[in-house]
Amino acid sequence: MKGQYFIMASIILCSLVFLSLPAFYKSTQYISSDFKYILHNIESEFPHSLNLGLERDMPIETLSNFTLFVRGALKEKFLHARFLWMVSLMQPDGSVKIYVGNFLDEDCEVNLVVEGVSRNTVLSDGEVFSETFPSLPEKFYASLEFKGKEKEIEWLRDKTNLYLYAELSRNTDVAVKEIEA
Amino acid sequence: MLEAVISGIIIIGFVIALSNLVFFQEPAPNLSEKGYAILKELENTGKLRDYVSSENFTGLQSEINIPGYAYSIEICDSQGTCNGNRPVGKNVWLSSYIIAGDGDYEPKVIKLYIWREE
Repeated sequence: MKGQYFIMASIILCSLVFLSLPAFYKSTQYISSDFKYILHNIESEFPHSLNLGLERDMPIETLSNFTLFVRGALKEKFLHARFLWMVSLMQPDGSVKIYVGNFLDEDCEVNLVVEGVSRNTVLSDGEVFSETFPSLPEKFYASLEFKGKEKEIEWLRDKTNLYLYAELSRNTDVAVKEIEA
Repeated sequence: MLEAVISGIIIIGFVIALSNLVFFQEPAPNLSEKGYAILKELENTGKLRDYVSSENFTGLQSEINIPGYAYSIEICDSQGTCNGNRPVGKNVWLSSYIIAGDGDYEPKVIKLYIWREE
């Protein structure tokens, strides 16, 4: 009789190990493999959409439209895509207009500081904020605070600049990429 | 004594079965990544935008070759209108590539569906 306990114990042991396998696999799974190439696609295509927008004199409208298009397209892959971007555009009078677009799918407080001049606002999802800076040096410094993050950038006044924060999430996987162009 | 041997055989058999499952399982092919690499390569050679903007499915399909697998292509625009073939069934890998346009702003998603040939 005593020996049968050995058999029972071995069966119970094997069953416990077998039942714990899903937890083991869950703890060792990697970030969704498609994040890498989707972010690669985003990195190449957002600047392209801005360039196409510049060609039709609607850079911000085009970039906003493209951001919403990408967000919708990625939903089909069960991806929650969130974006925030900042663009600087030199105006014909020599001033620089800086735009901040919130596409984080939630309200977001942003604090923009350009050469010591600070602007603070709360943007709703899909809203674009702009501020004109009449006289900036050839190289200027801008910093953007949002969602507890701070991004400092050195930009050229005469060039169109883009900073993009892209965040992809699916279930518990999250990937973030910051792009400058 | 006999029971101890039997329980030992159970545990050893379980460990062998488990090691086969964990260590010797053939990894599932990542065809989504392969599909993206194909689309990216077409983009790098400047062919993807041309084919997509002209909706040249024949040209696009002639550039794709995935031995042992069948595939179909679908192109969707910003209005949600899609042209091409979407396969029906299970075990289909989907790779997609988003383009903003070719010369003009005209965003599209190119979807490459890949599945094992019957």
